[in-house]
Amino acid sequence: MLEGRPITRLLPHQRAQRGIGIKLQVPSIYRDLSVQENVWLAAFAKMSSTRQAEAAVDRVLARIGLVERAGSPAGELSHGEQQWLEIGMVVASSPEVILLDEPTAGMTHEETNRTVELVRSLAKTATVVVVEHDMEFVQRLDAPVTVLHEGRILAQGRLSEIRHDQRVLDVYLGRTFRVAGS
Amino acid sequence: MNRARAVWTSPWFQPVLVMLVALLVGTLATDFQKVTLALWVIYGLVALSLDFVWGRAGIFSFGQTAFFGVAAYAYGVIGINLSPNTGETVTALVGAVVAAAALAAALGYFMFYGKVGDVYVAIITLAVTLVLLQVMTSTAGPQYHIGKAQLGGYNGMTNIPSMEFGYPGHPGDQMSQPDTYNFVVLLAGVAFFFVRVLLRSGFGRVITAIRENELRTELLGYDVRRAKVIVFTVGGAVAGLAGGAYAGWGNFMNPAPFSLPAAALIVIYVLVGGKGTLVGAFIGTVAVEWLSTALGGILPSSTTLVVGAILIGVVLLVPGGLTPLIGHLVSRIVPSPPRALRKPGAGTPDAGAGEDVWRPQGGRHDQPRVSSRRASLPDRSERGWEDHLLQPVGRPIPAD
Repeated sequence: MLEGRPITRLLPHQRAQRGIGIKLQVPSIYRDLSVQENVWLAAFAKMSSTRQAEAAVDRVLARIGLVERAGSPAGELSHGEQQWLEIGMVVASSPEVILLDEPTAGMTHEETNRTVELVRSLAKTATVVVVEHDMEFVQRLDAPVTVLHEGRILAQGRLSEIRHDQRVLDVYLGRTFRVAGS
Repeated sequence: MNRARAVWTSPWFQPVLVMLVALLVGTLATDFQKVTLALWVIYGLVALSLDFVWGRAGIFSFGQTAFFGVAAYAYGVIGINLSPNTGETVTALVGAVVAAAALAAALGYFMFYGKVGDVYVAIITLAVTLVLLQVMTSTAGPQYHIGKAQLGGYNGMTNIPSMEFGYPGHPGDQMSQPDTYNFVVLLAGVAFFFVRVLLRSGFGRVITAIRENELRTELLGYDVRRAKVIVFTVGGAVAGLAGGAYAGWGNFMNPAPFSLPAAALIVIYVLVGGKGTLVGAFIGTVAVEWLSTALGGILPSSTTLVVGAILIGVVLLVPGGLTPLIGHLVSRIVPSPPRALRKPGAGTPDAGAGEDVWRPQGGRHDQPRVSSRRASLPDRSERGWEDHLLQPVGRPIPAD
């Protein structure tokens, strides 16, 4: 459901049009296009005016800190920069809900720090859902946490609470565990 | 940026260049040679339609000759039935384009909205072409006619009127062969210009995006299915324009264009000319046709062998095709303007990097760092003219 309307049956591009931005685990970008072209394509999907889209490119590049690399082919960026670029493309399409699948996968410590800042700033204007198993990153985000196990919600709450939840510990360590009733 | 590059990448330059070269060659050729040259330009137009659909949008279509053939028959049917009364064949030519575009749109709708995989698009388009071959060869009997137009089966449709621009009661002169050549060149130039304008638009950039990463394009919110149908329809219309021109050129149409060799030949034109370069469609067509005519004369009845040898030679030696090769040679011959003569700050941010703007692959490196103020967004293919020439889609340039 998004804004009271079911979206389960919609096609991927229709969901995107309704305001869901998604970043895949492995960076999915246009490797042979330049950084600014990548962002432009994301912005143009929502604006359908080339001028407006070009203005959006400037803002987004500044936000993700890739202004210097605007003209480089996206494939030449470092892995971390590619992750940011993809987040930037999500931002450029000004979504209401942002889904991030392991945004810090393969990042260095320093890059992870910058990503934390970036995700936090995204959360000011949109609902951000992050899937991540890097607990340090999750802790730094300081957001409500939901633990899923075999497709079901296992626990919800602050990370500090989750850390002391016996069931979560059992599942995490692979101890025998069955959700009540199943 | 560099002036030569800006001119080269502008949408009108390459079409005008092609037309000027074609008309120049036309002034040197005899009327008899112009008949053959017109055919090459027509084939070049079909190759252009494939290069647009395949080289730019990444849809491999074996069906361009199907659209070509359907359009040629449509021109014949409309021309034979209407032109004696109306005195013109413009309706026939427009009808040919519409028929081809409609077939492409219908076929494209089922393929792309049905989410058919790339390989199957190739198979389906080829199958449709071969089905048309079967259907049209079995229309020999006198009962197969549309109005006054006999379809003629394997022997084909005859007495198709040449181009004429009259009006009812005032039939125009049927176009002579030299005029037909000029007219065909004009058609090709206009179609080429239209394709280039389309590619420069926002939609053109989305086409590139689909080719580069279809999933990402979909997740950004673009309707990839719709975009592909539009591209496929435009490609069909361009092939249809060539088909209509072909019927008016030869006054004759038979099912041969629906055959496998004809379908494959278009692919060969594009590969030889340089896939994704657009202008290469014409270069490849002329190169293949000229060589196979010249060598076919020496080795009669082995034209297929010659064409095959050309294709293998090009794929092995210049995998990017002839157009990048020509760009490379031009870059050797034409000296780069000395640094002092250039406008200050024009494309020379780093010492050495912009030293030779004509250098192959220079475009990527001598791009100035773009400040946040300057978000000019050239299409990837428009980035630099040497990029455009030397980096056709997906193929690395062999290091020299």
